[in-house]
Amino acid sequence: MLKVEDLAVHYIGRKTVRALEEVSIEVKKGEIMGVVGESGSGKTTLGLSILKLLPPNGRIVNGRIYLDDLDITSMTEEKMREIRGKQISMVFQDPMTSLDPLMSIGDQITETITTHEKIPKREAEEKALSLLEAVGISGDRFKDFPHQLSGGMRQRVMIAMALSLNPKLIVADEPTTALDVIVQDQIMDLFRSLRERFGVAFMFISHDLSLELEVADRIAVMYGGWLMELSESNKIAEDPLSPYTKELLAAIPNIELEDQKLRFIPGNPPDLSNPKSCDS
Amino acid sequence: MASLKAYIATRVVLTIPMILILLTLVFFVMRVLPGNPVIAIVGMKASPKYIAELEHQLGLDKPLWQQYLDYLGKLIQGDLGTSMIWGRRPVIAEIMDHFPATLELTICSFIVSIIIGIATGMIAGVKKGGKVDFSMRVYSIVAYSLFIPWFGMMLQLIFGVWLNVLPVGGRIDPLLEPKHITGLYIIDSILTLNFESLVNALEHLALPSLTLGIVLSGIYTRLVRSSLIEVFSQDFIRACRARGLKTSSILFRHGLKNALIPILTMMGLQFALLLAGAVLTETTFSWPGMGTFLMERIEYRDFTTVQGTIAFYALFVALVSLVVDLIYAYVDPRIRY
Amino acid sequence: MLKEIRSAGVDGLMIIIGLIIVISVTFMAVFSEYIAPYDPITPVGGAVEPPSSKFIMGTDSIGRDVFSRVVFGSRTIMFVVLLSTAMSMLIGIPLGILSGYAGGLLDRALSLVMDSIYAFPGLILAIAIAAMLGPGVYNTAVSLAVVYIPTYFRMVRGQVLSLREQLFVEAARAIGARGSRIMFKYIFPNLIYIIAVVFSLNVADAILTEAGLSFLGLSVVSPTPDWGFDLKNGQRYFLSGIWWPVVFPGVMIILLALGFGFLGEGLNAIMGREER
Repeated sequence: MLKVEDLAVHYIGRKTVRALEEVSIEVKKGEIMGVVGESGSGKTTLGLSILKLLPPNGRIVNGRIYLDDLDITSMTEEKMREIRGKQISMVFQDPMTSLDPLMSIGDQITETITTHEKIPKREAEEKALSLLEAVGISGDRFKDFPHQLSGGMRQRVMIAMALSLNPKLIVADEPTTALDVIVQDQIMDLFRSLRERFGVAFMFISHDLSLELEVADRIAVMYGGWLMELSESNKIAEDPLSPYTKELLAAIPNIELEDQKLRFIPGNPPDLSNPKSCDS
Repeated sequence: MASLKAYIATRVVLTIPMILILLTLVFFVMRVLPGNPVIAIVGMKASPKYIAELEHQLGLDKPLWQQYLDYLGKLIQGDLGTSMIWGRRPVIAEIMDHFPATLELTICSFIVSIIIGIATGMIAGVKKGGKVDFSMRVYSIVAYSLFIPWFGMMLQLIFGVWLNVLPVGGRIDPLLEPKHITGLYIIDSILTLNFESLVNALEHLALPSLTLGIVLSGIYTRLVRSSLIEVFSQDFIRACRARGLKTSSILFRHGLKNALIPILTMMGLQFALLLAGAVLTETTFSWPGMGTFLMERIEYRDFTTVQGTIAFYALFVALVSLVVDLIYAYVDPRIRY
Repeated sequence: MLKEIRSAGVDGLMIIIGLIIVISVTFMAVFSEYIAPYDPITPVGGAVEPPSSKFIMGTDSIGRDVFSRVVFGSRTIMFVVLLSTAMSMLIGIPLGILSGYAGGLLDRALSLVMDSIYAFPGLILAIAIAAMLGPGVYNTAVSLAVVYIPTYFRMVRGQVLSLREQLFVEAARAIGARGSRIMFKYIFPNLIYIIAVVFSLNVADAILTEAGLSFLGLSVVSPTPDWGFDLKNGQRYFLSGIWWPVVFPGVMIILLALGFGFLGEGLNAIMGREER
């Protein structure tokens, strides 16, 4: 459904940062694809590139992105706007800065719907209501304002918005990082149930490999702008290919072991404006 | 909406002590400060008998606390005093003769100031940190520093004399005054379908409102800018775009409302600035409003009228500040919950 | 502080420009006798003579040299404004400290009074007081002082309240620092910055209010040289092309207000950054 071929993205500036290099990845229909990596690995850039939401200094310098055989790489902004929210949507890390504090959550979801579909407001509101229920928020909170909701609930609102037009893919960039672990679990469950119910695919971007192992079908490991490894999540845990993945796995603390020293991967992430050849 | 009602009730109740304090202040300034206001009015050379008569007339021979209570008592009944000169008309009637002119000027200036303020604030807020942002900040300081009489006179010179497209003073050409319904020429001329009057009134309003509006716009620039920076973070814009919203609708549907909030917050205060600025604007443009009225009566030593007018200002400001706060609570949901 | 100013970029530029203007005008006010070529209150030429080499800013309606009046006018306005500011601070600051520190009913009552005055249009209050007190430099200062007392009250009270709660004061006390040490090392630097900002912005406002009072004829007695007052006198002939008695004093008012305004704004911006 979504195919990324050989994507290379650079941020132009006094020093050009090579955020992504030769990344090829495919997301199948209804699949939950996990993209894991540390800060600076390029995982967020990948997500933004798919929606063509790169900041002004970001350029796709090579590669193609296909949505169901449609080449969206060089699509105009106008056409892209039709795709965003409708065919591919995105959920970000901090729901508070993504919401207008002066509009009720129900109205904001309705707004997303009416932007893409010419249906009467009443109908859109009903859709918004059912979406709220689908993400586990009671319908009588339709008229509530963002500041009246907890962090976890706000994130659900964002997911409801992302879901509102039945997109093929929802890109979630660190959706649970700002939330506590119990809420994290709930959101993961939500992803799974939404995928079952609506057949929507997820690209779940995170730095937390253990989370991904729980929920993703396949996992892509990124480092320094490169795709290190890509395989089924159960296979990755049993038989990791790249040494980086091995270290990541080993770094996951095991709640059952008693005297455990936290393992970490030595060194800093590579300076992407000055890439050196791989020497792990 | 229960909490909104509670908020309204609280707010109304709080206004009363504020009005009381202001009226007391007015009393203090007008009665206590000058010592003997009668002498201030008629001068030292008047006969003692005349002075005593006036004192009695003005109630100045009563003990101070009784004067104070009389003063408050009359005000509650809406009696702002009686003029000491000419027709001895009630002050409130004379104020009402001049109030519509000031109201019209104030409203038009306000509109000018928020249009400019929002536009400049939005530009500065969206393009934060750059040269544009900096020049907007400079604009807001410069605009406020433009001394109103001077700025007004410059506009009179440019548009009234050199370009000769707008009148330099007055409110309307004498023969074109529309039929009196509200006292607001714009509304009255529309209601009576008198378009010649409408145009003429607007022509006369142009320079004064521009003068006062531009000077006060700078304040809004700053407010709008900071409010927008808060809400219109890059994250917010990006999240909106991720939903497929058009940039223009983002700006207007979300941006405008958020820009208006800080304006509302400060509007009570800004209104005071509007009234103060109106006095200078009116005297510059010979605009027959409350400002010129006040100055005229000061010159004529019409003490009671001056006192009544200042009291009127106090009441008016308190009322507007209350209304604005209520509107603000209605618009910004974060306040009431 | 100089180090911070230099690294502040455009805000630093604002401060520098503001300082230049303020210092120049202060210089003009202090050394008026040496800068002005003529006596400001005596007619020295024909009425409304245009600017020339003899009178670089022309003469006014009575034949006085506009330039000399402008120079001496700086003294009048600076004196009135600074005097009134001193009075406002003398009353407002102690009251603010008292109110913030004492809290309770006293604080609420005082705050209510101050807020009410603050809400009332400043110029109109000044007009009322000036009208009742009569003209004169000292009376004008009093009118202005009353208007701005709430400004200083609020600022100081706010500072006292926030400083009381500041965690670092608690922390400092926890590690045993003596009260006075807390004061000097932590509280004062912050306070100085804020006073400087409020002072500058307030003086800018006071300048415009004083000029307003003068323009309305309520501040000084003729023939005292005063920019607003001269503006009013020049208004009569302005539209018939006699621009110099109006333009020059007017520009000075704006310039001085701008100077203090830039100073305050620039300091404010830097302070905002420092806090982060």
